[in-house]
Amino acid sequence: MSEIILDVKNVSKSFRLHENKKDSLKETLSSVFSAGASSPELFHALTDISFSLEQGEVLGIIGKNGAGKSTLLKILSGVTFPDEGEINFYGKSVSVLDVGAGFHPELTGRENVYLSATLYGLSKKEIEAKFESIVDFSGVRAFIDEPVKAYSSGMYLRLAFSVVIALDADILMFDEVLYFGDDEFRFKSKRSITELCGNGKTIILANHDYDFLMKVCDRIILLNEGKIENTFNLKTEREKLSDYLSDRLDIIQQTQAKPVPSVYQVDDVMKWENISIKGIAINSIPSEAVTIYSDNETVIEVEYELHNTDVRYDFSLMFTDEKADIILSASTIDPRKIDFVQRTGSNTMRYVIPKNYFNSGTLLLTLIVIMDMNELVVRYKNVKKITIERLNRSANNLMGMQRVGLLYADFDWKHN
Amino acid sequence: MSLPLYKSITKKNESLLTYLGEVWKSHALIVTFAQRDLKIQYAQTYLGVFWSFIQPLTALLIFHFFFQRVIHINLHVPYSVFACTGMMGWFFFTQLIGQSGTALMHNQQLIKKIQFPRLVLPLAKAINGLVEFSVMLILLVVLMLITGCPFSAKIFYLPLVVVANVVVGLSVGIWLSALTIRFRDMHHLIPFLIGFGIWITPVFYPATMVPDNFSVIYYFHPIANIIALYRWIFIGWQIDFIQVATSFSISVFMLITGLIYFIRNEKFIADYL
Repeated sequence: MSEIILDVKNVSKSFRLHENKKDSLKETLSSVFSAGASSPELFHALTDISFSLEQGEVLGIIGKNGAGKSTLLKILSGVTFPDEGEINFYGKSVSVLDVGAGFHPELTGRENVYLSATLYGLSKKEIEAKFESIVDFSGVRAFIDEPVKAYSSGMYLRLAFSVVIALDADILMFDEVLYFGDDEFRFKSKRSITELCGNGKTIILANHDYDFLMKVCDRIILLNEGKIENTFNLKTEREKLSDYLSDRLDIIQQTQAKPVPSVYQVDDVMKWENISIKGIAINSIPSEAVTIYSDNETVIEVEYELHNTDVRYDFSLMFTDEKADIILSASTIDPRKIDFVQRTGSNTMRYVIPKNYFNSGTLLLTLIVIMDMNELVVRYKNVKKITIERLNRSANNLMGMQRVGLLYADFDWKHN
Repeated sequence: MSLPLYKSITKKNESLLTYLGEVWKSHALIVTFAQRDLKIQYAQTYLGVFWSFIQPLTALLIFHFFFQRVIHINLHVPYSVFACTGMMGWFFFTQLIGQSGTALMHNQQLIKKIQFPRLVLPLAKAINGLVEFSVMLILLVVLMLITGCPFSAKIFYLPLVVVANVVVGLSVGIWLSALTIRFRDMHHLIPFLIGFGIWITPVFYPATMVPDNFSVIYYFHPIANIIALYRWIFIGWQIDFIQVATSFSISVFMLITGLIYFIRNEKFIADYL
């Protein structure tokens, strides 16, 4: 049996509900002078929380919003403190309440790595020793001396997460951080957490990704109104948890209706090992929202990297309108369409939409990667939001009639 | 349970010495924060560090105009050197109370997300203040060379006076930084202190111009005595050591009580933000 590495004993915390009003000096002065002032209303965020973790255990904390998950994580992080109770750590801990906390946009990637790692308690020497591995993991080496305000959100988060991984703590705590960034980053951070789980690290995950928690956790604590409602050992009580939660659909529904800050999501990432999508760009613009001009050609580029060429990967594109109706689709799978050679390393697939095909409006692009002509590898749902406009607005007006519809195709007319 | 205890979290406050020990362990963080703020301060400015010269130079020109051209003060020393010694202490002091006092407020996001001794934030601001102080010092030395003022051996006391200046600044700054978290009113008090404080402090006029029956306030006016010490060092003016010691003792008392108040609130700072 492993040894106890974290011991949480009878932790309670409450907030005074009208604390904010007391922020003014007048309130405090008047409460000092008026004898027997009414005691403030208390909100019990956590009540008598006790649990302990063994070395290498992975704990998931679930519960509705406001159940106390974040407060518990904040207390475990030492950002705030309990009113009662005690927490003992028998190992170095690091908590990630927010990826990139401590990063400053004006500073370069390098400076931010030093700042962030110092904040987490590393000495300058330790940071120097780990710097290369941090940069390697982040994959932003080319931009490491640029200010991070110039980074894409994905790059920013990758660098920040790399610092956390490099801290080499025994106990790692994550609050909802798996929802930041792009797919590749989320995939990478989930994979890193999965790796950490297998490496004897003790991990606490408080988040809404119920499926992921079921995959990696040894134990699940269900919080409700600041109390531990139930604890499930996933090795023996997996069924019991599913049964229990089937009666408590409110928790699952809330855990699945996750607020995804980014526009898109991956359906299945586990098969996504041999191919990595480096970027999707429209007319060379990599951002999530792109404006295109339909009087010009539009080029959609998918840059990807293959680790071997044992299987062929195909790409399908789907353009949907805001009601999720498919307006246009295209695929490399169509056998007569294209034949292409994929090589190990970097590849780019281009799809060219001719000019004067769209009219104007908004489309969402979904990219599907298919392996061996039949197996879906990854689906980037709504990966791009494309706003279509016409440069030549006068062309919009045809004999007093507006061009209508999302598409306006100048195909050949034949007469007689 | 054979693993050694790494750390323990309870609401119990550390003693002053334990806490200061932790802050000392975080000295790298203090330096990193100070560097961060300096880099940010001058990021994307064309003149960069010259802005630090422009502000005191402008103030000096204005003081010079008013007190040499409009009102004639006779000091037996070049007025610019005299005013510079006053500004040196005063600007450093205001930097300490203004920046340290708001350091916690300005780093709310960090405080809510990462655990570190919060005192690091006002202390980092104090280091930043030292940079601007050095600028003033360079300005003073240049002015003394231009006007041919003699340097005395008392200059070796300068480091001590600078430390005393930091103590006086932090004695107010740490109180303010902890109080601002609970009472946002303090936010308004800081510009008030700085704006009006310069008039009751002998920065651009000599303390001797103040009628004798008012001069008793200088026993309780720490920064006035720090300025007196700078003038003692650079222009050889007499000081009243009992008065200096009295006001400095008040500052040391304020600093210790301020630290105790800060530590008592430290653990719940994130809750008040």
